[in-house]
Amino acid sequence: MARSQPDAPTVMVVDDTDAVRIVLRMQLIILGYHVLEARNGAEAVVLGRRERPDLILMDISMPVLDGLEATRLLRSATETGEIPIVALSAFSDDECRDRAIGAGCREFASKPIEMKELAELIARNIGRGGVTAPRYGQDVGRR
Amino acid sequence: MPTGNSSPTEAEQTILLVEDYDGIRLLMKTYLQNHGYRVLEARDGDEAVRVAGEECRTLRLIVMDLNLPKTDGLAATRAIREMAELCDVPIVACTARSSDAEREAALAAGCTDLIAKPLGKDAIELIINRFLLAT
Repeated sequence: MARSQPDAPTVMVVDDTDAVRIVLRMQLIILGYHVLEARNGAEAVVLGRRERPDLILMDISMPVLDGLEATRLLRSATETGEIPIVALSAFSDDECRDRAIGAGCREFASKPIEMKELAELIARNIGRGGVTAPRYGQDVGRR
Repeated sequence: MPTGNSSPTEAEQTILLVEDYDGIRLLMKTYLQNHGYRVLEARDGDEAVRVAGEECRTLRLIVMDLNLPKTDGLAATRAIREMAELCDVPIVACTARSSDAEREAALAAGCTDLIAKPLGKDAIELIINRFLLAT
């Protein structure tokens, strides 16, 4: 069963909607990751610099400081420049996608996201070779 | 334990039913709706955490089958229990395998109680009386 190990990678969830953060946090716990939360881009920049998570899931449309600007700030700082950032947006149009990629996001995905898609998205972006990939779906054949 | 009428205090209370068998879910849903409850449904553990998160402000009770496709009931329960917004919501586990070991595992994961399947009218009455009317 996937419980987060002491050496499990940390994923930071950035979203201004409480319910979105709660759902993503539970999904990430099930997948075995440690979870950090930020409610807007400004919190994401502060927390990102302090904690240096292994991956950031970034909402785009947020108050205070939006996801595009937060991504630019994180990518341009030496402490956080290497952290992979994946945009998670309620919008799925090409313009939104292009802007996210242009700001420095590695990839763009639409909310809500299914567990399997989330697991694969993180696994291909997290870039920590030695870390065991989440074992989502391993119990499926149990029934 | 017949309860023909639903009291006004039951109105607007939201219950999440997590069960992969359509027939059982429909039966329980119908019964609870007839008692005036608002019923949300999930067919696997993935849907359970999504609905629980989205409805964390309204949820009063979760009835959770333990043997589910995708994320199972125990893993979903553990994740729900880690949320400050959901840690007080009772989770009643349902399983056909109601051994002592199964009960221990359910309680350790954070389930409030465990009820053996098949779930008949009496079991549903028990759930209502113990977890919805009592609070």
